[in-house]
This record gives sequence, structure tokens and C-alpha cells, in this order.
Amino acid sequence: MDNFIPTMGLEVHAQVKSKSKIFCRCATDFSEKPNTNICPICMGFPGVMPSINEEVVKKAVKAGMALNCRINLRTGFARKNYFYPDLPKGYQITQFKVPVAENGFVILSNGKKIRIRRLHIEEDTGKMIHDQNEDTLIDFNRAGVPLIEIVTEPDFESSAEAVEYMNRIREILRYTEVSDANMEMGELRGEPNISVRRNMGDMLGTKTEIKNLNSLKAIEKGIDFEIERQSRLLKEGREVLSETMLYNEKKQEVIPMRKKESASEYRYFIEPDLPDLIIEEAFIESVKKEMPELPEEKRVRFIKQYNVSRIESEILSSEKSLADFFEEAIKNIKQTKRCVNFFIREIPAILNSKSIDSAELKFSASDFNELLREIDSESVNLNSAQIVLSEMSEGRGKAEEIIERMNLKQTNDDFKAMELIKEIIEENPKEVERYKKGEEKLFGVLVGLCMKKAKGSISPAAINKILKEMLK
Amino acid sequence: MEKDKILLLAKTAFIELTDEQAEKFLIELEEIVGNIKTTLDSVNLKDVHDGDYYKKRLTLLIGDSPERSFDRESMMMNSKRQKDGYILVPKLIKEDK
Amino acid sequence: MRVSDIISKYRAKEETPITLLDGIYEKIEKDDLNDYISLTKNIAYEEAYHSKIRHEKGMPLSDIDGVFFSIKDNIAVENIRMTCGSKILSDFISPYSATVVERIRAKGGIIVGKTNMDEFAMGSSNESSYFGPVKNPVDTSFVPGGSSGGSAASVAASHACISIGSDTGGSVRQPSSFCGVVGFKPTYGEVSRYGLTAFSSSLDTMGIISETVRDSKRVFDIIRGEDAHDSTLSSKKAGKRDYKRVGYLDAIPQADKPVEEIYGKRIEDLKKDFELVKIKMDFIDISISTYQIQTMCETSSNLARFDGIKYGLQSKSGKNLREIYSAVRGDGFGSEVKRRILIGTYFLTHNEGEYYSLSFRLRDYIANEIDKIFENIDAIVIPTSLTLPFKFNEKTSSPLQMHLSDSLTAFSNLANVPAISINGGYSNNLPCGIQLVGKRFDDDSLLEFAERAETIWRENG
Repeated sequence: MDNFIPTMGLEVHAQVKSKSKIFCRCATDFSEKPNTNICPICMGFPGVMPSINEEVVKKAVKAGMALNCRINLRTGFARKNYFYPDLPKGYQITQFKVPVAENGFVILSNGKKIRIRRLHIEEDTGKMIHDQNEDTLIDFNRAGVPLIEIVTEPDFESSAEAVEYMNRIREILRYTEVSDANMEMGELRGEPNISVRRNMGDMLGTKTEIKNLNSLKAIEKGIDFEIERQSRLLKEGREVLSETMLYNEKKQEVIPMRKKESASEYRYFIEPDLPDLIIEEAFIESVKKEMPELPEEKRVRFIKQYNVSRIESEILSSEKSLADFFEEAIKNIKQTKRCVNFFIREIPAILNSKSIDSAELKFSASDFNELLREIDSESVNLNSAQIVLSEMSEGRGKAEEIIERMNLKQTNDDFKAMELIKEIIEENPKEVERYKKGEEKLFGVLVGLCMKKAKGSISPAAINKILKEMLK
Repeated sequence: MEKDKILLLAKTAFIELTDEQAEKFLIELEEIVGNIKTTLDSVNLKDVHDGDYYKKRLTLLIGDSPERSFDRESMMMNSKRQKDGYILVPKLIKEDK
Repeated sequence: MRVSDIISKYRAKEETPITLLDGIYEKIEKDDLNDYISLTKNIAYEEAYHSKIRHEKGMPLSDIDGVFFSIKDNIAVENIRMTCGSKILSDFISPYSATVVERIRAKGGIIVGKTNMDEFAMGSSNESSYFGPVKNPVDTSFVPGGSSGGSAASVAASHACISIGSDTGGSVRQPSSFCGVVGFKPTYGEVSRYGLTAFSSSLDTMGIISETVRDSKRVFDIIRGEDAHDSTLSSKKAGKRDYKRVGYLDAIPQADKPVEEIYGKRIEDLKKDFELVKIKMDFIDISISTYQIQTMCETSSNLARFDGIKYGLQSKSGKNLREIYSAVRGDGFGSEVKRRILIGTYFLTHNEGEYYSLSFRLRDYIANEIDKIFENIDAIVIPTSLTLPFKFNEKTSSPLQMHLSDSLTAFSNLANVPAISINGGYSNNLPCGIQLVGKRFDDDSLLEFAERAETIWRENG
């Protein structure tokens, strides 16, 4: 089966972060009780008309710019006509001929450019739920929630590329605050279209589309299953039909759902209730001003500015909030390497173990900066700093208080001891080696050597403490 | 045009037609479409310029601030099938195969 | 029933809004024209009571405080049934009001009821209503015209002072002509359409029916202007000016003889005060075709929301979704509506909707032609309808024949120019409307011209 080459494109729907819906003033919070955030407009009652939420246009333009698209200064809305119980008007207001943005790209880590064909604005549908009695229930709270749809060219050759692309899109949408883009919440949905062919030179095969992929794992598996299925069909001399496939997580398979619609079946035509949307230069300028540093730009800068590796830089920039937290925390630090390492070792671990984001930490970036300064000035060592941090993350005070309270400050004695112990360790490599291998009694010998050299100028307690640390 | 064509249109528009209606509509559709085609053949649209009869730019953009003006009761007073605050899709009767 | 007569009765304390309302409801029942689908007695009496108190205190809200309105049944009034003349909405209660309705009520207007109409405003005789035809008050064996047949009849029969209707291709002007009253279609973009059930969104306008031009003008000033619910409203304004040159046709092919005679006489009447210029309108056939494409395409989409899921006619079960939808829509829509939806679906599926795109080019063409005509003149005066009122079942057989009835009115929707129909006289006791058409956004000047024409024609008998 390895002689079939897959070609894929992705359609991504992302929920635009807004307070009210795209064409009416209902709240976008659809986690509320069913059918409470609805009005005659989003329910498609007779006589209503849409008025567009400016914030949605702004965010779509912002997303388009962040994805290197050309922004169309004159764009318009269209109706996509089809019948389904979750579609209140019998048509969805979307964009057809001229989307708000087109011709963009995203670059993957292997250097490959994924071309974005178009990015357009549209409204979401209601939600259908099936209950235990096999009744189908509809909640229209989601109807009219703003979406952007991002469509790529068929540039993917593997599920891994598709997954990485989804990650990049997610990151960019979150950085620009266009969308919260949580896949589990359905705020980001990816629908791949897939075809396979035997040789690179062959025409593209018949493509299918996969729906119901609610996680990155599902996208990866769904794509792999479908490539396999199509390859098997072709190998057996059978035909791939133009179908919409449904991913079934429980059964771990993709099954045909229905014949794939063609554009003409949707009878697209311009939305007569909305004149063309003209995007002014000034509007674009104002969006540009709000544009944050994008993830890739940040990564490149971090590598240069903080002398971190590519991987470290990716960890630090995975969320904008974390990157901002990091930069605030690292301010005015001289020994950056030491502090960056401490940050990378400690913070993601805390966030992971508590599954929270940096905003939910019990200490602020400037609180953390205080601790890093203590490390920087070497008034605490890294072991003590770890203890201080775990106190801080439980909300038990600020760095300085904790150090004081727990008596973790390195004294003058400590510094003197460190210098002296360094010499002793250098002078007695064999003893150190043996101690490290488990001959614990040699610790006493080393203490004795230190005491002798110190001639009473350093307290035995300090020598004991520092030696133990340095021998770790 | 064939009667099948009318039935396909009816399918696309989700409208049930009787045979009698389908036949009647077929004749009427042909009459209207034929008439339109003849008329269109007589127009020269070459020198036509923008007619200025429609609004060319959207000037009404509303703010991003939610308002709740309708309660569920008034929004659902017309829905005859309801369950726990949801609208119920008509029951699908399984066909015996 | 003129606004000024009512107001002077209130001032003279001869009548109160309540006593007049009693009389109206009695007359509606007695005349039995079927012009109303729903009477809104509860809200009408409540409003009448408040209006009465305001008049007693000498503090009316406006010059339409206590004036009686009928509203076409495709325009939403909160908590009142809105059927659009269709079975599919025969029990639908609107949870909200149209912007025009809110504005009228805010100024003290009293809503008497919702008027009968052709189903979803598709028709010219009011015979396609699920609630039965409306009788023309001038002669009850004749149709009142359509689609705002109930609205025109209600004003002609003094069942309301003013009616708010809708005009997509002549639906306010043609029934006004048939019932001998004034029917005004403003420029598209002047009056909010919010709350008007869409038939053809790019052509629909709210329209006003009244006994006099002055009354239409009064109401127009109240309902026009910006609305955060209608993105197609325009802020364009034309300066007011006196009309001097008037264009007319010297022959109207396909027009009934009496129509031509009355028209000829009314043109003669205008010669003393205006310069009359012969014009040509060679785009009538094109406008009918364009009108058919646009309205049918748009209606096939606009009426998709009536699917039996959320409101209106609903069924309990079916074999599959398609069957449930198709059964509700097959049963709920009348024949005329189905025909137009199917033809619209045909146009939109044929060659990726090339007909629909073409119809905009055709509208450009018609608008260009109209604009050329207006380079030389201030207004066009033409008959409103090719025919006088006809009898029931006389013209329902051929759809093409029915569409011809839009031929003198549809072009003003397509080119988007304002037009008003005024009664030009009677032939065999049947009224004949004459239509005055102005330049785009010239509504104020057109209304002023219409008042002058109305006076001249009245004086000339």
C-alpha cells in the first residue's frame, strides 16, 4: 500500500471570540440553558434582517493578516442554501465569490509552505443532540455564533503535516485573540479532504471529506484510516466515490455518511440583505496596530535574545500568555542562562501538574522575577529556589518572605564555604569519587579537611550544608 | 424539459408535488423560461453601466455587546414539539426493510 | 377616512378614539369584505383608551395620535398572529414588531388589524390568499387587486385611515388603483424593511395606502429613516425642488380602452401647470422578465425557513427528514407560491445561477434607461395598471397573464425609483389609478408634485 501518494487539503472552522453573535445582539455563550440566547434574528423568524457585528470583521481581517493573506478591500456576503433542522433560515450566511482574505500561507517546521486559498466569515448553526429516548433535540444558542473558515490548497502529504498545521493555526488564532480555538470545545474544527494516486505524475484522485474530527488525535487517525481505505479500494481495482466520511472514535473507523455536495447544489447567491463590505485602509491600519508579535517571530527572537534552543523557544512561546509571563519574569536578570533554565524546568511542570495556564498561577510574573533575582544574585541556590517556588505556587507568600521564613538565604559563610569546598573537591578527587559511589563515611573525612583548611573562620553548620549540596 | 426535471427541482426545494401539479408546473415553467429567453435575446447589455439602484457599501456595523431582549417562552411559543427547553425534531419512523 | 377629519372630530370633542373604533369594527363586520385576517381589538382598544386621555388633556403625541392603521399580514406586530396569507403560517404568532409598527405606535397610531393579502405577497388579485379572496369595496363582485388587496380595501371601505402594505413589483400601487385610493411606494432604502416577511429582499419596500397624498406623506415622515436592523437603508437625500417637466406616453400597448381614456384626460389636465414631454419606455418586457428572475430566485431562498421545525405548520413524524419537510411545505404553500419557488430553484441551479447574476445586469440596464429619461424631465406619469378591476376567477388561469399586471409598476422597483398611484377617475364606476414616478430618493419632491396633481385632477372632476 505504500506506493499510493496521498494529497490533502484542510478546511478549518474557528469560532471567532466575540461577546455577541454575528448578525444579532444575542450573547455567544452557548453553554447556557438551551434556547436562552436566541432571538427572532438568529432563529430566522419571518421578517428579520441581519446587521453585522464589527468586531467579527475586525478579527477576520486580523486572522487573515496573521496568516499572510491578501485582504480584499471589497468583500461581500452570500447565501448557502440547504435544509437541515439546525439551520434556522434554510440558508447559511457566508461569503462566496470574494472572501475577506485570500492567498495566505503557513510554514511548517520541515520548511514546507502550506498555501491558504481563502479565509471567510460565516455563521454557525444550532446544535443537535440525541437523547436516551432516541429523540433529536435542537438547541439554537449556537446559531449565529461567528465563525471563520480557513481553506488550504491540497498541500499536505501526511497526517503529521496536517496535525502540525492545526497546531500552528491554533497558536496563531490564540495569539491574535481571534479565537480561543479549543478543539475539545468545538471552537476549532478541522475537516480534511483526501485523495490518493499511484504516481506523482498522475492526476489527482477522487477526493472525500472527513467530518466529526474533534481532536488532533482524531485528525491524525481519521486521515490515516482514510488513506488506507482509499488505497485498499484502488488496489482492489475499485473506485473511490466522492463522499463525505464520518469518523467514529469508538469503532476507530471512517464510514461514508453521504454523497459529497457540489457548490451548485448549495445555490449560492449574494445575500441581498447585506450590501458589500468595504474595508478601509484606516481599518486595516488599526488592526495592524493591534497585531501582536506572532509565534514564529517570537521564537526567532527568543533564540537570539535569550540564547535558548529552538525547542526551548517553542516551549516558551507555546502560549502567548506564557511567553509574556516569561519575559516579565526574566526582566533585569544578568545570569540569563541559569534563570531561563530554571524557568523552563519549573514553570511548565507546575502548569502541567495543575493543568492551568500562567494567568491562573498563585503568583505573578513580577513575583517570579523577585525569585529569579534572588537566584541571579546568588542569595539562594537552585535547590532552595525550588523549595521557595513550591511554596509560592501554593500561595504561601512571596519569595523574600519564604526565604526569610525558611532560612534559605545563603550567608557570607555560605559563600566562603563554597569557595573553600571547591578547592577541597578539586584537591581530593578520589575521596569525592568514592563518596559519590556510596561510601558515606567519607563525608566526615571531607568535612574534616574543610574544617582544617578554614581554621575556624567558617561555621561547621555552613560547611556541612554547602558540602552536601555541592556533592549532589 | 422533462417531468423528471420538475421532480428534481421539487426535491431540491423540499416541496411535495402531486403528479398533476408536476405536469402543470412543467408547462408553466417552460412557458415562463421560454418567454424570458426570448426577451433576453432582444437586450444588448454591452453599454450598460452601474445602475446605482442598490446600496453599494455596508455602513451599518453594530457593536459587540450582548443584549437579551427575548425570553425563551416568547421565542418558543410557536414550537409545538418541545422537550426540556429544546426543540424536538419530528420523530423519524424507521422503515421496515 | 382622512387624518385631518378624525383629528378635528377629536378636537371638537364630537368623537373619541374609542367611539370611532367601535364604529370601525361594526363596519368591518357589516361590510364583510374579508379584508382583515386578524382583528387586533385588545391592543386597539388599549391604545384608543390612552389616546383618548391624551386628546382630552390636549397633549396628543403627534398628528397621527388616535389615527387608525391596518397592517398587511406580512408585517410583524408583537404577540399578534402573522399569516402572510398562507396556511404554513396560519397559526404563527410574531414575538416582535416591525420597525414601522413600532414607530407608528410610538406616535399614537392605533392598529385595527392585520389585512388579507395574496400568499406571501405573490399575486395581483388577492385570490391566492389561504384566507379567501377580498371583495373590492367599490363593487364587491370585483377583485381589490393585490397583493396588498386587504390593505387597499380597508382604506377604501373606511375600515382604517392608513394601511401599511408592501410593494415588490406594484403590490401597493395596483390594489390602490383598483380600490380608488392613494398608494405610495418610496425609494428602496428609505423605510426600514425590518419585520416585513421577505418575498424578494432586493425589491421589497414598505408602502403606504391612504385616502389622500397628504396622509401618505404624514406617515412616510414618521416611518422613514435609519434603523439598526436594516443594513440596506440609505442615507442619501435629494434636495427638494419644484417639478416642471413631466414625461408621458402617447400610447400604451396592451392597455384597456377605459384606462387609456382616463390617462389621456389626466395628461391634458396637467398641461396648464406643467410642461409635458413625450417619452418612450421600451424596457417593459425586459422589466417583467427581470422581475420574474429576481423575485423567484430570492423567494426560493427566503421561503426556505418555513420548514415545519420551529414554528408554523409542523408535523409530528415522518419516515425521514426530507419527507417531513416536503410534506409540510407541500401542504403549507399554495400553488402560486410553489410555482415561484420551483422556478426560482431552477434559475439558481441552472449554470451556477447565471440567470440571477444576469438579472442584476438587466436592472442596470433598466436603471440606465430610467436615468436617461429623467435627464430631461422631473416625473413620469403613466397608468398604474393596464386594466380596470376584474372579476373573481377572471385572470387566475394563466400565470403569464397575471404577471402582465405588474408591467407598469415593476420597473420602478427594479430601477429603484419612488412611485405613487392616485385615483385618476372612474369608468363604469370602476376606479383607475394614475401613477407618478420620481427620481431615486426624490420622494419628498414627488409627494409634493403628487399633491398638486391630486388637486388639479379633483378640480377637473
